[in-house]
Amino acid sequence: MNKHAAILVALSLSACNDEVVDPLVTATGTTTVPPPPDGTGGAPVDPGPRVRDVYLRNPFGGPPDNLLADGDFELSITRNSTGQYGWRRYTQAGQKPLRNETGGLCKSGLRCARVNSGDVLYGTGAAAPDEAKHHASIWVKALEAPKNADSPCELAEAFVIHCSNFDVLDQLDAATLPDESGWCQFQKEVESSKVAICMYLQIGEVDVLVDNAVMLPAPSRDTASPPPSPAPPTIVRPAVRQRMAWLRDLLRRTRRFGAPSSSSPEALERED
Amino acid sequence: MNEGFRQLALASAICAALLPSAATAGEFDDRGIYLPDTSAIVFESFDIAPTHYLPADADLECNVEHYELLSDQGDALDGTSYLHVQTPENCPERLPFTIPSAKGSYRVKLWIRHGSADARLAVSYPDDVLPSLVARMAPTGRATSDGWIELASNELPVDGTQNPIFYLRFSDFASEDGVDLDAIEITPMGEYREQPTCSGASDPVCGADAICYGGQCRLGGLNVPPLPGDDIRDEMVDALELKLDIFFGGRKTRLLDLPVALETLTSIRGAQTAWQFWNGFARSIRELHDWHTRANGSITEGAVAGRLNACFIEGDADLSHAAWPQDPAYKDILVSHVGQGDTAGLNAGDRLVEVDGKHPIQWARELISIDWGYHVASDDTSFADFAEDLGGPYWAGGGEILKYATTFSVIRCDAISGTCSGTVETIDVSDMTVEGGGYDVVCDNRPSYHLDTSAPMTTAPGQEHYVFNTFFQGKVTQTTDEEKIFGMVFDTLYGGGDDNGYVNKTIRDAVINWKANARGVILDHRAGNGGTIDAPEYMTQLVRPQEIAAAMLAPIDIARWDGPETPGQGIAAFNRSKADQGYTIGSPDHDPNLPVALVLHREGSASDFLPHGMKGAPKVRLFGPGPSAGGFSTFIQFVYWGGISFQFASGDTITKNGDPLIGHGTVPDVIIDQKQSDLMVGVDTIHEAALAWVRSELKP
Repeated sequence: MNKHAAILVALSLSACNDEVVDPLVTATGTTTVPPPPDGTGGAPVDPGPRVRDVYLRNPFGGPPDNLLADGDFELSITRNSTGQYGWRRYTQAGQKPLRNETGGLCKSGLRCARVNSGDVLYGTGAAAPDEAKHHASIWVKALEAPKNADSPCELAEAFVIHCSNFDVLDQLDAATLPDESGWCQFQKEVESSKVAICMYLQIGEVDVLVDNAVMLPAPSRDTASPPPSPAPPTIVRPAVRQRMAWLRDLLRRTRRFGAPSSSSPEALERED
Repeated sequence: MNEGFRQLALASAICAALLPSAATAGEFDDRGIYLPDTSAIVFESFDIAPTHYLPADADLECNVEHYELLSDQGDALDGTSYLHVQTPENCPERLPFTIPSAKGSYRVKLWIRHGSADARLAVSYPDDVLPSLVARMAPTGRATSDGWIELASNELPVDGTQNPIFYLRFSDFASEDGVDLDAIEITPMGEYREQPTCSGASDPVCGADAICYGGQCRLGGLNVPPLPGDDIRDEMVDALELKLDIFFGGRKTRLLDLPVALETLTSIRGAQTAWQFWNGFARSIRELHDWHTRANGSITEGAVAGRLNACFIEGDADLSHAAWPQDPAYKDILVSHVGQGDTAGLNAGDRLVEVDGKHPIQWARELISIDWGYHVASDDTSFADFAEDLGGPYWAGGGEILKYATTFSVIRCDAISGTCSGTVETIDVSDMTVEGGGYDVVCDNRPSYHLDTSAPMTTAPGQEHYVFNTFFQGKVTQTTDEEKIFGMVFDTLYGGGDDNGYVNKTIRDAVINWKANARGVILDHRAGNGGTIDAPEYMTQLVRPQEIAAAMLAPIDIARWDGPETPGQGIAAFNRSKADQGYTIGSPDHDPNLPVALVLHREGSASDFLPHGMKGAPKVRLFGPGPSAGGFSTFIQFVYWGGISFQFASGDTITKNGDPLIGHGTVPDVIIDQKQSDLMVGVDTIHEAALAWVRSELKP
């Protein structure tokens, strides 16, 4: 059966109805279902199962005051160029373009990163003003069965680091379980910094989606309460530390102090 | 008409017959079922595999269908089938559509999933009876829970009476193994518009939301994403504003330029058209007034008809001030050198006095409102970039006169008599004949080269001035073997962190050679394109003891940081970061007795760092007409959809004395202009001054 036979009915019943069908909502991904159309003229008709939700999302991602340059993975996706984007992907062979998933398959925005096991993601950021602490968070979703079924969110190791020397400020805590859509949140309150801070994500043993990385100034602590005891130093696995050192040196050596590109990285030949 | 469209048309007819108003375009019902736009002239739902189209001039290897029809899939956006597309990099897929045989204007919407796509609506005509046109596509913001996102173009005018080929050009990227495509919907939008020829950037013949580029009107809307809907426009502007506010710039550019850009960004919240919105955004990026900062779009892609095969530089028109006085704000603009063919009869030493009735630099600066190729130094007093871009080929970033001017006015000079005309000649760009042939000369601010290729181990650029990423070096012309004056011509400093790569090894080897064998060195870096910090660090090892000269706090350390307000704060920042981000110059093994002249004209970023690191060394002298660009930072890049990308500078460089450097180019020790009287007889004023100084300081 041709699929448009089905929508003819819909066009007759819905498209011809002058009520605007507009179940759009913004950003959060929740969907407002409009009230059923009036004027059906009789007993309620079972409309059938819901097929999909529809969202309206900011193509630049959010939140706008994110201290990560492209936390939502919307502006780092290129055809094949490897530049100084907000997010950069590294394999053992060096920087590679990011691949992406789309729409509601992502945690937020229109695009998210699709990353292979063993890869590293490096996210450019800035420290919060006024020596404020940071609330750092990132979401990861397994694309295949996690290796450790008892720890389904053991998908990556996420760190907040000093961009310049890769000193680790903290490692984000992984959620115990994924949320209802399979996403695992990694988050932590991270100390203040006087130099730029970045996010470093070492992907584990399965391919994953990564999205909605956020770093915001943490709410200031109540001054009446006693200061927290100093956090113990973060233990970083030797293999991860070695990889960090490699990337730190690579970034230092290749940081661009050069002329801007005169064309878009997406530019192909002009076909007109 | 395909089956899908037939049924859609039938549905539309039912609506039109039964009800006074039809459904809104391309919506979803409350179950999430897609309801095609009832006004669509094409709705491709991929019930059957589509037709594949390949232009006659396309690579025959692309004449393969790079898609497959996937049916009986419960998650098609529309119905039960969709197209899965996976294209090789240089073989975009093309899907043709039939449209009415009348003049019209159309937009396209479609949905993709599982990756990204370069999607364009295109029209071309048999025998090129009309210009081909392309409309880029970008997201509307609509997305579905099963992964579909909507892309749309702005309106594309089509003359259906001319038997056009009307098609979707589509290629996937950033996908695991191709992307899904469904529900292509082409609807009438706007009115047909001609694409007339034109003259000058603001020729009204092009109409609203269009520019005149290279004598041809270009519709702005074809080259930018759709106007963001009211529901998300403020969110999008907020995101752009805060990205700039948090990450952009160093002290000078944040205090002086960022507020201007943010004001422009605010204004686009009320944009009425896609071009107003996106060109306003791009203008705000240009208003950041930074050497590293620009917005890219397809409006400036493609060839420009004609050629002005001549290069211009700032200088001193010492032979023609009687005929045309010097401008109080800007230096004179002179012809530096010319190519072969299509030179408009210009010769070295001729003077460009006006473009469209304004001083050439003033004219170039005013292009900020429409020129997506606008490139400006961070230092407010440096205009060398503008002068360099006036002439030369568009493919090398030049050709501004050819792209945007109606007329330009010159004073011609005669090398034999040694005089210049007392009258000004105005040339209409559209009257310039194009003979073709010869070679395109590149503008590198060097009237000539001074490397003696008859000497052993000496190389020099050719008459085309194609220096680009090559180093040329050897014995300097008109010097004796006993003087042992060596020279180097280079534009790139992209060492890329590879000590043994071409750039760094060339510099390191040259430093060793010069320390052992030279009595004087002339470094010609007059088109300094920057690179990475290692290359200038290596070069400075020739001339001075080792020290950390500055700390490169880039990208920006702290969100919204305007930089150190006092030298004390600056020194604290320097001390905090010098170990990890230091600009380390010099070497214990430098040669304190070797005179080194660094010849400058237009240089930025790592090419700012080079003169900064050389200046002040005991046997170094910098020669040039003015400050370097002051681009003392790195940058962050962002890539959007529809050919839009942008990058902006982030961070600053703080000297050991606590001074922020962004926007403050390195000033030569000897400020010297090219003289008209020299250029017209083949003398390179700046080089001659450098050579004279080196001769006076030869190493014993």
